[in-house]
Amino acid sequence: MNSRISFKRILAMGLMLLASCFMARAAVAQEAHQAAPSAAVAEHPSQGEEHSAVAGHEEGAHEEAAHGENAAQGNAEGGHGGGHGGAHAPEIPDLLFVLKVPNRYRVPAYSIAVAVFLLLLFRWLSRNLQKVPGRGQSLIELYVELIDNFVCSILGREAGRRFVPFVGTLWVYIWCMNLFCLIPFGFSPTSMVQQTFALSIIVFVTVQWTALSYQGLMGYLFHLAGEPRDAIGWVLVPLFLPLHIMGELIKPVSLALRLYGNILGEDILLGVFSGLGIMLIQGIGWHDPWFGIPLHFPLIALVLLGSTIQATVFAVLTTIYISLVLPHYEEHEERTPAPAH
Amino acid sequence: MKDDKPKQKPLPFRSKRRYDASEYRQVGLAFAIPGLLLAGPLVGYGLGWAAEIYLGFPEWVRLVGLGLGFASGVRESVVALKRLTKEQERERSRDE
Repeated sequence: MNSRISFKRILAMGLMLLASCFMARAAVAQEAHQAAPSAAVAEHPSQGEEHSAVAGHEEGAHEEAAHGENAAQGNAEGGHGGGHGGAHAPEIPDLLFVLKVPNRYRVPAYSIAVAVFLLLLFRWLSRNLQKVPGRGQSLIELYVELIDNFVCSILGREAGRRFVPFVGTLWVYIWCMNLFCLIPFGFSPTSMVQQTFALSIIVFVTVQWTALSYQGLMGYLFHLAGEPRDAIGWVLVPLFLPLHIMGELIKPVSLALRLYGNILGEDILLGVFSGLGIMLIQGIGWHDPWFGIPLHFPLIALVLLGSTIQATVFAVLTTIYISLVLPHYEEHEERTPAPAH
Repeated sequence: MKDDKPKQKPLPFRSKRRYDASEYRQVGLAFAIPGLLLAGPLVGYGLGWAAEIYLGFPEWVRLVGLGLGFASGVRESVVALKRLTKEQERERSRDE
């Protein structure tokens, strides 16, 4: 690629720095909102330490102040607080937070925004398809080829082709949601447990539906019973049946918790370092700074890597879970030729 | 004679590296194990709690659920580990 330092790139860097300053300013404004809850926090000194300059879920905090009740109850409307005992996770404020929109609208708003963005992007990239592809079309073709090779190498060509659109959509949707926090005033919906559970429920339904459609009802029940072959196997059915049912339920829960935990961790990391940038400015005597030192910039690479890995892990495990309910999945794998490039 | 054909540049995002899904599968499987071990007892306890609250079962059902959940998590982890081992063996045999 062209590695010259062009005007466009300098402008892009400048815009990113400016955006970072805005984010930091919004964080300082947010600090003022937290003056009221700080009184309530004084009653719970252990939680006070976890409040940062960029902390916050306003609604949960206000409820805490008003009722002085359990913090988990205070965050019942949604938000990161629900995940860790009501303490406010430090995070970079997003647009809806700055506009004081209630927390419960954040996940649907941002996930729909990502979906609409992807829809428009792919429509735009795939318009006017040519035999000799342009850059946009090549990008899409490369992505589809990668997903096709990947899914078919696990499920086999025949069954794999059925799930390429599902797994491909899942990967790109999760990846974009994970990275949405890097856009100034953006927010990762996958850092909330509601979103990740919704995704994993979709995977769960798909896996169970696939199992039912490929194995039939009796085959499905036989699989759940541990596929007993002899008398001992049938005797052990009452033990294996609950184990298998629980195993099916564990899979979506583990998918959801892993994605939620990792993306929340990345968000908190960015929030903590942004807050540190503001505190440094405050430390030199400027008590109401309009910008912060963008200390979180080096962590953006980590977020990029982590988000890609988590989206890949989700897609990989979805494909593997589908493969486990297909009849004779091992034969499919052996039959599949090595994907050539 | 000079070749007048313009040289076709490769696209910048085309990797020359051979695509291998096995690595991704291994990473995915390795990542699955801690999640399964964590989610097992959680799901088991949750089901036990639900049985106690909504179906009127005695309290020890939670403990049974916890134990079953843990066993189920371990079982799923063993399945993932077996598959991971198989992937590694396949990769090794292919390299040889």
